[in-house]
Amino acid sequence: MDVTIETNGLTKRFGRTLAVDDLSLAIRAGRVTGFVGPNGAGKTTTMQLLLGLARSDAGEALVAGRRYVSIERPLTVVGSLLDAGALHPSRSARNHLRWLARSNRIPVDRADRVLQLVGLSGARRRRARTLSLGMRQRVGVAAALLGDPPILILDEPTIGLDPEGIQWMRETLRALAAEGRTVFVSSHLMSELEGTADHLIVIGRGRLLADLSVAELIAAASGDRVEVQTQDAPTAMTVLANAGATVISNGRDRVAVEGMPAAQVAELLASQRIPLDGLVSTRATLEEAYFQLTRGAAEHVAGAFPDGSPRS
Amino acid sequence: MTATLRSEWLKLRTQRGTIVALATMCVLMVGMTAFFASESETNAVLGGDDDLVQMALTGIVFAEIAVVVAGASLITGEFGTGMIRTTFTATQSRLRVLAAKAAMLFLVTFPLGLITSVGSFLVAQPLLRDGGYVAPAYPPVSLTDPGVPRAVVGTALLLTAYALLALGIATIVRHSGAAIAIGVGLIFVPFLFLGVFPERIARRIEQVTPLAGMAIQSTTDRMLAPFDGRAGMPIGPWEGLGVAFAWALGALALGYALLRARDA
Repeated sequence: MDVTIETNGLTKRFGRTLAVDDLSLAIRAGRVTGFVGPNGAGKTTTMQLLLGLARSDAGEALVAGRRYVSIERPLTVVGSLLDAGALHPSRSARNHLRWLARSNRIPVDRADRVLQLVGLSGARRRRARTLSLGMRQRVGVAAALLGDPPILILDEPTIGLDPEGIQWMRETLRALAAEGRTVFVSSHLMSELEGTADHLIVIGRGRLLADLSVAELIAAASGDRVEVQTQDAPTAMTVLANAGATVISNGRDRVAVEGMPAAQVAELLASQRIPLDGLVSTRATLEEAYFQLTRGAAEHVAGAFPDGSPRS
Repeated sequence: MTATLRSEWLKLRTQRGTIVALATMCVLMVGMTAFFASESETNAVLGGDDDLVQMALTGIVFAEIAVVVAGASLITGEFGTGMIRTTFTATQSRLRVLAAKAAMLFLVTFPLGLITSVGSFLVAQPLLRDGGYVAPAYPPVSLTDPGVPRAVVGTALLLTAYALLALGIATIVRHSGAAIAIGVGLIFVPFLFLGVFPERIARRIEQVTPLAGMAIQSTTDRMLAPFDGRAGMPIGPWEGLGVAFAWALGALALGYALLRARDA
């Protein structure tokens, strides 16, 4: 079965706001694809379009090669988590999963199985209103897994989770991807996807900003940047500049070097007998790389845009 | 469709608000009928014209408030929490979801309405006798007398029509408070106008609003005998019930059109 998620020229407008703007994506199986962007970037809307909950103004959104609305027993093909608060307060987690199971002719004993899987067996009879946000997120993940689907679409599954919960979610998502599933997970915080996502799709103001691996993103943002500490900064600068590197004085005994690998910097300074007190190769964090990418694309920069845009 | 029906049935069973509203409907139907019957008195010796059948089913005026809450709560709970999106990811067809909800509401409300209508009728008869409703002016009536089965079954159907009307309104406005206010308003405001407007307009109100359904309860030539003294039926009993169901179907149809047109 085709287990990809795909959009082609997807466009959605809310009044005068372009929530999703000509977005084309292809998400592969067997890895966790993070979907990141500032609040209001169009992440939730994109996911709703994928799940047939909203109508696109142009373009198409396909899951498993089809429009979601044409999938039979959809929970067995695509599992989704949109809003962990979406539980009827008086209904137990178990009954919530049971009505979902019945609607897709999934054996009802799957409800207990997935509750066990997310570690909620003990709370399965408790009314939803008595569950913490973290527990509701787990119920949401259980619901997504109910039909054992090869595709998972999860909107901000880590919101409201404590560090332990985030760790649990991370391991769960990685395990699901390792089983060969397509895992598409959104977050407005890059840090929450660090260590989870293999691949990233970054959007801002509904537009695609980047579609690349985590390693590529960091490399792109870091460049080659080496910090050198030396007693003889002026000479070091001259030598490095003559060798073609970009040098910036960073205080009396510090020099920042760009455009030359750390090993070559060290070798060059040693060959000229310039005393070297320290040498640090700096790497951008994922967070920094993300900020570089989304700078200027943030929807809610003060005064930049009128209100009225939907949540992410 | 079977899967959706089974799913909606489980939802209904595990939705406390709906269950409480349905139970309240039963209590109000029998309880308020008994109260009304026990407070009714007559000293007519010959030729009384009170409608003993309708008097024994008066509780509907209170029960319909509860049934509106039950019908609305079936879907507003989902709009309120956002669970409606989960529902539509599981069953993409809006028509199938709404039809299953309406079917479940019918299958629960009608039997409950029937049991409580029969109960009301039986509870009221001795109470009315104690109030002076005795032969020869008022010969005893039984469930099998002409017109009585129609009034009793019709009362259950009317409660069901009001429940479906509320479900339709709730699907349109997507908010529990607004749906209940509009539903109760559509059923009760016509009552308030009966005494205010001139005869011609009052008759028209009894013909075209959901209130027309009350004609099904009448076994004399007067509609709404306990509330309205006017002689002559403005509309036939089944026609009146039909008007109430037309309102319900209209609201459901509009609700469905909006479910399709709007993003969830």
